[in-house]
Amino acid sequence: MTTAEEKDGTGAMIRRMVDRTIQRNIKGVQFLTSSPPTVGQTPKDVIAQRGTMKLYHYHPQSEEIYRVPVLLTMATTNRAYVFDLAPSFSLVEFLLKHGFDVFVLDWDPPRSDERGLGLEDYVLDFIPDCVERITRDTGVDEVSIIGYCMGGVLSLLYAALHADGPLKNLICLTTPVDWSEMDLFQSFSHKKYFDVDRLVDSVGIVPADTIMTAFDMLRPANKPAARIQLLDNLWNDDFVRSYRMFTRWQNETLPLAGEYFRQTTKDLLWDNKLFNDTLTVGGQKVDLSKIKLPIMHAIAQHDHIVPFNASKPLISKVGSKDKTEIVLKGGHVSLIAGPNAVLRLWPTIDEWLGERSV
Amino acid sequence: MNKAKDPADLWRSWVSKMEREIDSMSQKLMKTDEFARTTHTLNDIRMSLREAVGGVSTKNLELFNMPSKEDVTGLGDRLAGIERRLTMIERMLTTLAEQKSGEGKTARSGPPRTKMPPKKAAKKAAKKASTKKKPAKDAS
Repeated sequence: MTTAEEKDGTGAMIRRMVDRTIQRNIKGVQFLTSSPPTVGQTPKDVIAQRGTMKLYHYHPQSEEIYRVPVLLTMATTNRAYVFDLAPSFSLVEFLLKHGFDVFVLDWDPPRSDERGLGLEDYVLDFIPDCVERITRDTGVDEVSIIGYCMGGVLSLLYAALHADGPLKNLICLTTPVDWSEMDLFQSFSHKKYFDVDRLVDSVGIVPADTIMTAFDMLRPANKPAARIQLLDNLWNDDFVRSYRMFTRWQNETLPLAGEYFRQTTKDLLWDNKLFNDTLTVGGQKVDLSKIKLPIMHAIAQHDHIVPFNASKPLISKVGSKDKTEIVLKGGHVSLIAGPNAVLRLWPTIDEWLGERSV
Repeated sequence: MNKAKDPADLWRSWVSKMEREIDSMSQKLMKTDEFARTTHTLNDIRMSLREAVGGVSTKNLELFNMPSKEDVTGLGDRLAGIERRLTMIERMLTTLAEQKSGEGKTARSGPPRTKMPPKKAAKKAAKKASTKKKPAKDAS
């Protein structure tokens, strides 16, 4: 590199730095004064609402659609709009444009009279109710399910307990099966010290703050570092928009029904019953080997919420012949939303599910 | 090619290094028995305080003839119960209406459910093309 080129390079760098500093100041003011970003804009209808359960049907965006409709099941701790953050950053929109008939099972914060909701209510009532409504609405007697995180666990339990049901295909996204590998959650809910009964009996509904604190504690430096990154990238509209959407989603973590929290803590975290094949839901024994339908499991390589080893055994536990496991780069959320998901997970879902939705 | 180093890159890499180090350090700490014992003891104290304060404030509200949190929650529960019954009635009425009109399933109209995955669609198109070509060959 010649001296003249070096000078040019340094000059360009200084110009860029000055420009970005000005932009940071202007956009910093905009950031503080503007309202939160709009999310979940893809047109839809609420076709069922019952307590904490809400079922959306999205308007098809393709001239012809696959025969089998698909239901996306969200984790009970979070809002389902992470599937539909913004145009061109929306899994829902992507699926619609690729010819799927999309339904989403979302959760509202459980009301105080729903404190007694347990796993059986989600697995034997809410999901079957949604599936039944979808079959009635579409006139098709089969449905595929895509379940994310705890939504994946619920979908898996549903599939195991409705082996002869209308489920055609199942996609689990970063779904924990071996809960003994959830080491930090194990520590937060240490059997020797954590009095889950006292907590649940005293609060009824486990507050969203408690859930959010647990998530934040998994990576305590994450939030401050993200704020520093935001300051650095305030000049970049795309970065700021993405930051605000994800922060909004994280801040809207949902409270949990007490009984459900108790069961999750005792049966899954403490006794690892799903992995040990000793789990019962509503008096019915859950046997994952009874699942014979086509199944795909997507695992995130750097998932700090559901560690790789916690979700890895899923595929070996199910009895399906047509089973696929994919391990993708990324974390728990970047697996399903954001620029990486657009390139990695979404096309994989489209290809796998499309072939099995006719 | 001109590639001057951005001095802020040093700062950025320091931030991400610190983030990783703090996370890994605190994760190690959180996995210890002492951490679990301390946090749960603190939680127990917090809950005891909460219960004690809750009891006192309920008594004070009662003194001033004001509804407590439990009263308001109870009202909410009753409203929710009414809502639930209404939903049940609505569902029953829909089912009855469907039975009366003789329709078991009322499928929503929409695009045809004929879409094929790209590979199958391509195969189908190729097959169609080959069957179309055959009669032409026979004719010649």
